[in-house]
Amino acid sequence: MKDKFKKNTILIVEDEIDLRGLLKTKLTSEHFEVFEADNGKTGLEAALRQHPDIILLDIVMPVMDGLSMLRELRQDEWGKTVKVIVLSNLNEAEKVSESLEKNIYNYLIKSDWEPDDIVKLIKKNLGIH
Amino acid sequence: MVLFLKDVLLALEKNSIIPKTIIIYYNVYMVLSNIIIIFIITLSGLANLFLAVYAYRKNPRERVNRDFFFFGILLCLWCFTNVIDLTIRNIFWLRATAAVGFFVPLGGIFLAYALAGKKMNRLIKILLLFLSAVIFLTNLLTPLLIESVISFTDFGYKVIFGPLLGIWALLEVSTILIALYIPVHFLKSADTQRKKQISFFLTGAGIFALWFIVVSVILPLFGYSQFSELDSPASIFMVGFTGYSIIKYNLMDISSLFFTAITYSAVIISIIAFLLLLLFVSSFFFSHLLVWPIYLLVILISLVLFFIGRLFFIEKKDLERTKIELTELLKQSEENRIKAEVERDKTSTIISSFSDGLILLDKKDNIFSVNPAAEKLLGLKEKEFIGRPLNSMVPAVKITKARAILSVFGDGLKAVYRQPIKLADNLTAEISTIILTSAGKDMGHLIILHDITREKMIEKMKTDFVSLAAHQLRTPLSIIKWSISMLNKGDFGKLNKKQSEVVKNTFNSNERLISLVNNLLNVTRMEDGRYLYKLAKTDMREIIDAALDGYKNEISKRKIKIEYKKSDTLPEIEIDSEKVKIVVQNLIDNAIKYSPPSGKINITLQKKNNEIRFEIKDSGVGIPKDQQGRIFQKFFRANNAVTMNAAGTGLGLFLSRNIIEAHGGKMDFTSNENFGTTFSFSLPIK
Repeated sequence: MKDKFKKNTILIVEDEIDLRGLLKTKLTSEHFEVFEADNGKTGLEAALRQHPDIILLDIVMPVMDGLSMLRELRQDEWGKTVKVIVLSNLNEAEKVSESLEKNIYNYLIKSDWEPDDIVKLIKKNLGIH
Repeated sequence: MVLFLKDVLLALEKNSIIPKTIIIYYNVYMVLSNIIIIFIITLSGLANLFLAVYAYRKNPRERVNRDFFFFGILLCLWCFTNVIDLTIRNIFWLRATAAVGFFVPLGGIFLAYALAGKKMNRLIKILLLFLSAVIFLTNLLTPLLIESVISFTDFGYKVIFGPLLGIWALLEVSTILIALYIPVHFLKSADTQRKKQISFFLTGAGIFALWFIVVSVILPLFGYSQFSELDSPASIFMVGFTGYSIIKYNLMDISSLFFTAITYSAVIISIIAFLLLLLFVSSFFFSHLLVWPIYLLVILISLVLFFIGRLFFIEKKDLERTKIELTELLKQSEENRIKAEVERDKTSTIISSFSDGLILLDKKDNIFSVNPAAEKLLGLKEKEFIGRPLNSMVPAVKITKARAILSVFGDGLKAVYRQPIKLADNLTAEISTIILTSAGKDMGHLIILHDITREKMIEKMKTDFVSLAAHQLRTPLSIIKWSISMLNKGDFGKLNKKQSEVVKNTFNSNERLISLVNNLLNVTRMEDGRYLYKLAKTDMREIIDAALDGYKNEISKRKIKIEYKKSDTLPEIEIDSEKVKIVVQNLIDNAIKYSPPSGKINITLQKKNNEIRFEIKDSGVGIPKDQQGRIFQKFFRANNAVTMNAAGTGLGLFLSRNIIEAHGGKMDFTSNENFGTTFSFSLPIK
């Protein structure tokens, strides 16, 4: 059971360090607790260790890509229901991830979204106003 | 024989050894034999006359023809002198036959020269003519050759020769021999064709001459003058061989003459035979003096027949012409057949070596021909399917392939044009059907299979490349976008006015670049056929509201007045809202971009029949009339649009129309340059 005064936690799985840094700055300033991972493998470990409230997941990454990580995550009891927002620049990945599962909260094309809007979407998903 | 028998019988009768009745029967027999001789001589005479006239008429300028004419006339004259002699039986006509007879070998000498193609020495010519004139007159008017005639009966007589018999015989024989020798002499130097012509003429002339020498020269020298009656009938040999030479070796250029002559002769002979029969019967009742006028009648009738024969001849000529025409026609049709065969071979070579697969169906849509390329594409053998319906292919080939083809046609064969079908994993073809017609008649169908596997592969490579490039572009664009956005929002400290303006401009430029990449990706995906995949019931009003919301800053900045009319009740429609939003955004963006500041934009959204209709009217620059036809083309931008707003990809309207059409809708526009444009689209309510 989470402490209701505890900060909401977010895991960013993104190999592009600049994007990861910008998102972290933005989310921290919005009072989220942010964990980072630079590929699917470390992302999966972090997720299973930290049990974040929401995962922002990139698709094209080295070591283990986003879709493989998602597949592994859903094997876990906790991971089955965790909220995942896919952040990618790949149009085709939308199709692939949709066919994989319906349990994705949003599929975002990075270049179409500003950090402000992403924050709004996260807040909406977490029920924070 | 006949004449010899006559002598014997007469001697027997004289000595009262046989009774008178036998003599009567014998007389009847004699009439018959005389008639036969007369008949043969007449026939020879007529045939000679005919040949002579015909040869002359055919080519009067040719020397051979001319000399043959004179020779033929001579023979004819001689024959008729004989006929008269046989009929009248007096010493004058007997002398006449001998006199005219001498001219025959003389004429032969002239003809021989002509045949050999040589000219006769003028002195010899005159000498010969003078000599013959002397002999002719001597024979005709003096008793030096024929002294007198002793008549036994009405039908026979014995000739008493004068002292010149020996000289006459010598002259006659030497003239004949000279006439025969000349062609033989010149034969060596003649060409093959002429050699053959001459040798036939010589054979005929030779037989005739030999015959003549025996019956009219040698036998009379030994006292048997009664056989001399048979000399002129031998001229029939002359006629026969010359005629044969004419048809066989084209003597005197009279090729079809022999056939004509035979036709004539057959008709003439039968009529003459009939008349002679009359003559034969009448001789029982009349003396042969009365027979003579009847005989004249025969000649007259023969002449009439000759002219009637001409009609036959003309008819024959027509027939020959028809025959030639017919032969020509046959030859032509044979040529046409060969031509058609060549054409057919050419066509079948083209069909069989065509790189596209061709399946030819007949009128009943049964398989008529399958070329090797089609066999290879479908993995079947032509001979197994000839004459069978198209769907008979199904069980034999890999079923998916045949089904793929058949599925294109459904139940009946319909016209398709370049419709792509996947025959196998690594095999894609374009299929087209062509209705074959000839002169408005249905001749069947042609199915064309064009292998586009390679094109498909290249296309996929292109798409993959663009996707990859776009993705690689999007990452740095995202970094720029996020950085600038956060900078602008004050996440890295507050900016002064100048800094803020620069940051905003940078952000807008970056947005343009992102939009371009997005458009490129959309076009690529659309061409790849994987564009619409998020169909859901959507309220169009939400899409328009959201799109207008995105442009509110721009609208207020340019003081543009928007008038938006929408129906209160609109059914939801099944669309890919993301894509339709792109369309609406594009149209609103264009309307704002190309309107003057403080311009007016009218938007209407309404249900019309079974469609939702969106219309946007601006008061902008409009589209020049000459460029309106190209407005939906990829990368096309109107001149005035380029001048007014340099940025723009020329992809927006192309994409928009494709999106609307992919939904089964329609997109249209009307425009007046400098007055504004109205774009509209309608989407079906399903």
